[in-house]
Amino acid sequence: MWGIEAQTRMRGSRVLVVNLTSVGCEIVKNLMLGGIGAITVIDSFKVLDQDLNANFFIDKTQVGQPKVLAAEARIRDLNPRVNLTVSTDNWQEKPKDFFLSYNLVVATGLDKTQLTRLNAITRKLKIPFYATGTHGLYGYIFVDLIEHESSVKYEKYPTPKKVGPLSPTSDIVSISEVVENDVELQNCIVKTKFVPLSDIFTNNEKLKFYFPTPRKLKKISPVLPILLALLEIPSQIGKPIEDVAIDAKELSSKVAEVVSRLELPEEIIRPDLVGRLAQQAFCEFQPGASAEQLCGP
Amino acid sequence: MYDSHLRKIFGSQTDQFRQSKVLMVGAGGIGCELLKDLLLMNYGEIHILDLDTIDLSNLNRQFLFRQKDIKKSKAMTAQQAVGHFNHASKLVAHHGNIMDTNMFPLSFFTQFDIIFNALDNLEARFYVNKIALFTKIPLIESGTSGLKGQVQPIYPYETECFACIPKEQPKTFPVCTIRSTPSKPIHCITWAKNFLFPQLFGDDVSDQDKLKPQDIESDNKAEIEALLKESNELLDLKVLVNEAAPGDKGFVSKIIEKIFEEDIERLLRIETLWKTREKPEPLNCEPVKIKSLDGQKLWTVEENLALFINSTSKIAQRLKQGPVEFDKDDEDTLDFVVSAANLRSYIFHIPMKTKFEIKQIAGNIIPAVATTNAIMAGFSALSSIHAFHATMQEKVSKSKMVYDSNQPSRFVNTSGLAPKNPKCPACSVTRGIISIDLSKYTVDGLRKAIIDKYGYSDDIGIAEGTRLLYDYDFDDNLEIKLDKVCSYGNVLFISDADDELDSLELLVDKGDKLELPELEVSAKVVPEEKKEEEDEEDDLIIEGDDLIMEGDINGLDGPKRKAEDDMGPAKKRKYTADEVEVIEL
Ligand SMILES: [Zn+2]
Repeated sequence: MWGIEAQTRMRGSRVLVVNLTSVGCEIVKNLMLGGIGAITVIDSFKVLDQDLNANFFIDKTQVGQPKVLAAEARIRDLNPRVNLTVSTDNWQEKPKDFFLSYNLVVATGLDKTQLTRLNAITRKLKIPFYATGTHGLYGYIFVDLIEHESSVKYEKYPTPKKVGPLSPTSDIVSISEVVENDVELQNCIVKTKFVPLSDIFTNNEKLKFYFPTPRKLKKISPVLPILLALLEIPSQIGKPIEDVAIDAKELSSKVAEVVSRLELPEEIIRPDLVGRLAQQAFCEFQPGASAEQLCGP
Repeated sequence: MYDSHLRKIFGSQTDQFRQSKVLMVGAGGIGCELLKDLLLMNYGEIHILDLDTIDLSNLNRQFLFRQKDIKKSKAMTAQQAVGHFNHASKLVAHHGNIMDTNMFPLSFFTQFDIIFNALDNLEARFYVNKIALFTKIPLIESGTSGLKGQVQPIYPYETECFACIPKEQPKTFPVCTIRSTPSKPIHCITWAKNFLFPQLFGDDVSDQDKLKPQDIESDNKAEIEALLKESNELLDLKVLVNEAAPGDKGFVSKIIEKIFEEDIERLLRIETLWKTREKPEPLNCEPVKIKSLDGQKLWTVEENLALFINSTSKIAQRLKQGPVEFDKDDEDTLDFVVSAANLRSYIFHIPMKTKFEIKQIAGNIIPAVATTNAIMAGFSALSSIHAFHATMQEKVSKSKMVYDSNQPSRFVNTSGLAPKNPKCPACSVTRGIISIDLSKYTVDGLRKAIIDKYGYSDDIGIAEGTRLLYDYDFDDNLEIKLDKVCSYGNVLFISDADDELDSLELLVDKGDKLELPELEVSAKVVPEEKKEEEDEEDDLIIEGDDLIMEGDINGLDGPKRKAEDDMGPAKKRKYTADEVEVIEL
């Protein structure tokens, strides 16, 4: 599918997965099936009853055990050729050197402080970083590939692209012309410079670029400010979900803060949706997680 | 509690999942993922149905299967493999063909609240679609092909069904392109695999398989004659293959002489073919010694020739033990197709391809991708949530069709469900289920009952498939008991002799007496004339160097993709992104 070169690159890749949440399980499963070179799963939580419906690597006799140890054998069984290691350590206590040997870091269920911290490390070490999480039926992915080149095809007309800036963070470095199904296309090599994740909480420059007019701003999903607001709350993963109580009012005021900080239109705040997300916050739901895990090496 | 997360998200709806029975048709790539998702939603009872056994090539993406499971039933193995994370569901596995009406009569389907399709072929999909129409059970259809995929919830007669948008069947090339004037690698690969291979190694070719003048879409008489002659001489080569002695490679040089030299010279003599095309050059080279060739590199023409000789003589020997069929995983047959296709490409000045590339093309494969399957299965399971709304209006309006996106900034697109297509051959028909004891009633008894019930003014015709049971001019069967002329699971087609009322489709289900369904049979609408189908020469979309078969491989041949490109009906759909959205920040 990806050609031999990519396949070889994948086999040589070492991926660190932080937290074996329901999305974490999906990611680990797909990386194992895809035949990645090596995976380390680091998760310091213990198996709770509630994990049984969220994690398909564990069974009910394993409640109380460290989660990654409980899951290890079933993960390995997916593809014995992948070099799998698990760690019950807290990633936050790991020295920077620990991350050095990975080509990719994928984290799930982190809060803003944790995200910022881990991203600072991956930036410093120039490791591509994916962060994802779910709150019930809702979810998000953040990607920081630092600097990334990709080839993108655009229709040539009505406005042909030119070499130079494409967006505030990407440049077209070269263009070749192709014709497909009688349509003239431009195959552009686009170099994208990613911003640190911490920027997204404060900086609305890119939002302004993609949604330049008030009418376009209205197209932004009302879920976005709520998900950003939820990241301000310390991560609740690994806690009994019955004990996780997010006050809708409190969340509302956090959402309002996000909206004003990013200069989003007031109408984006949907109280019903805030209520729903307050209820579902930090819930793990497997099919949602399956649909979510869109990341690959 | 093991279901704390679910309860917090869904509240009392959690119990509705628990009280529901669902059917999953297909336990392959999507099926394995879907089963996991349905289980973790705690559906009360999940039936897993698949006719296949596990193959080595499934293991890298069907995560419930292991090496030790090869050759075992997919349905049964999947059922066992999920045991450790099944906390609330009753699982029932069926190893069988969904279209087998003895194994799966209508009563089998009616027990389910939702049907999930995770199938890999169109025929079975159309069948389940039809069952869903008869039973009005919500159907959640899904499919993937490489990195593409889609999920379509179907609420029978309320929304677009699987047959509402015509699906593409794999297309073929005009014979003359393949046989006389190839211009792309795929033409040569098709020639090697679908023409040369069966001609040399197939079962004895009967007269029916012989090329007939009418098969050749060409007005060029000389070309037709050349092709026929070539074809018949090949039959002589088949004799050589059959009689080849062990270790003998001499017969191969005769084959080479004929197909790569004489046949080309003959084509060259038809000058009209080459007025606008570059002339081919008969092969003129000697094989080199080869040991092992790297399948990911391009080989020289001499290397291809050597491989052609080796593989041909190997297959000829194997034929003595029994038939040999092309299989992309059978090295000898693959080597043969690769070398033959490349030699022909060389002759026609077409770029040669690596074994790796040809394997993918010849195997008609867009490799399945575990991630795509997982994502689409996730959306399929998610879609089922909407089947639990109180009203049909809500079910339909909340549901979304999901498909992969070809825009770089968006992973998937969603759109609202389209209404049914009034011209759809499947859902524009009035349908119902007739409950009957076939041994008790005659054809005439049924005829009278139908006329009475639905108010056909005079007479009707009754057919089962293409078989006529009764009409005005054919009353031989009238007094015959129905069990002599049809069986349970059959669909009876009822037509109005006066052409005033619409036709009916009645699915025959076993009952004690004769009960006809309550149906509104409306006045017939005269259909518009069908448009001529457009001629399309190629069945490929060329993307860069990769050949992508447009004819559906994994069953999903995105009507969506087609629609986007061709501005079909889906183009008119409103693309919304309120559920899944990617914002680049
Ligand atoms: Zn239809």
